[in-house]
Amino acid sequence: MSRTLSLLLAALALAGCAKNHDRHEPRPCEPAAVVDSVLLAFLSQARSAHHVADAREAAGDLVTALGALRSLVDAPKPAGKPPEVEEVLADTRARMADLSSQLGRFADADAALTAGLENAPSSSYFRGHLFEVRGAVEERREKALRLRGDGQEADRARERSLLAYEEAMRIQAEVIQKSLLRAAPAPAPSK
Amino acid sequence: MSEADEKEPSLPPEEARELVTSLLAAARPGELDERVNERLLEQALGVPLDPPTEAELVESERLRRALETDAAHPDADVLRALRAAFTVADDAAVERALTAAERGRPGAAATRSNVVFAWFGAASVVVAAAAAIALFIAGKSPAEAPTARPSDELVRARSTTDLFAEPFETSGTTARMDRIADARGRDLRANRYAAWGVK
Repeated sequence: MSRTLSLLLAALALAGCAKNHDRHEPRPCEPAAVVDSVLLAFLSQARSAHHVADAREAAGDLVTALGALRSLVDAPKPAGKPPEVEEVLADTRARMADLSSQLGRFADADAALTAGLENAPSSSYFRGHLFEVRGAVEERREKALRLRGDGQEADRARERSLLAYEEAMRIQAEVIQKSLLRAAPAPAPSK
Repeated sequence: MSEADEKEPSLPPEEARELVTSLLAAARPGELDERVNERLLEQALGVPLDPPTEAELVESERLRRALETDAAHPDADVLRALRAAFTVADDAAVERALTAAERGRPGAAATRSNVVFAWFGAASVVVAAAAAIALFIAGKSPAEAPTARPSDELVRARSTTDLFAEPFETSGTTARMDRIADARGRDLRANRYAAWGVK
């Protein structure tokens, strides 16, 4: 086989491996990383951050609670974007958006939701939850706008809230449907 | 060097380089970033482990007895070598050997399997023990080395969606973090035992 043809075949093989895969799942031609101590260190850090946030939130200190979660999303991550890390970040950002909106920091809430949706690009409870939180954020924004007397913007926020909740419901229904299909017994072979 | 040593197959250069790097890191440990240290501590102290299984208890007891009675056991050899390495300290000899290994010696590195022996030379108990460890590791097949390596037996990183059966509540975020960390903690322990050949 000529050198040129060999190189061309190799390039085609690599292209076939690279395309059409979820960027948050291992490439088809690359084995997924094993569960190792680095991943566990991050997950432990995540657990600790959320427990700290719980304690701070219970004490009414939402700013410090947010800080604990911020330290997690800003911390170094395990290499290779393991799915667990992406999902933990999505869930963490959903919580950050919720806390930020409670503090009236709607721009921060929007940024957290946008980043969180990048962590959860496929239909999943993580993605559905982010849209649900978006719905709650828009509700709070609507309330704040009405208190300021900005009825028009408040109406828009309400509309966005409804759309977000509808998207959350759609995603969650899709996830439930998929799980039911997975759990269904395989059809018996025809005789 | 004996004639028998000369006939042994050479250690591949890449493996030799990795081995020397590992030994250098062991002999000259660098500073550990404080954040990394904290995460390691959290991981060691904060990840709950399930009670040991029957097989794990049996294997642990076998290893303990082998160490006490000097009986044969695949993992006991490594532990004995590590213990011997600290029996007599000759830091100067270790440093000379490692420095020589780091620079590389023309001719000696190219030919031998136990390139570690050539580089470390003769003399101290510490150097010989380090070489024994190196040979032990180099002599083992990759599947037997006591580190987790990717293989079909090891649990891989994957989505956590299977852990959850219903839509999320924001108030349940911490409980989800707990569940994910617990589940992957069990996976990590399974991987460690798989890498050690314990089932």
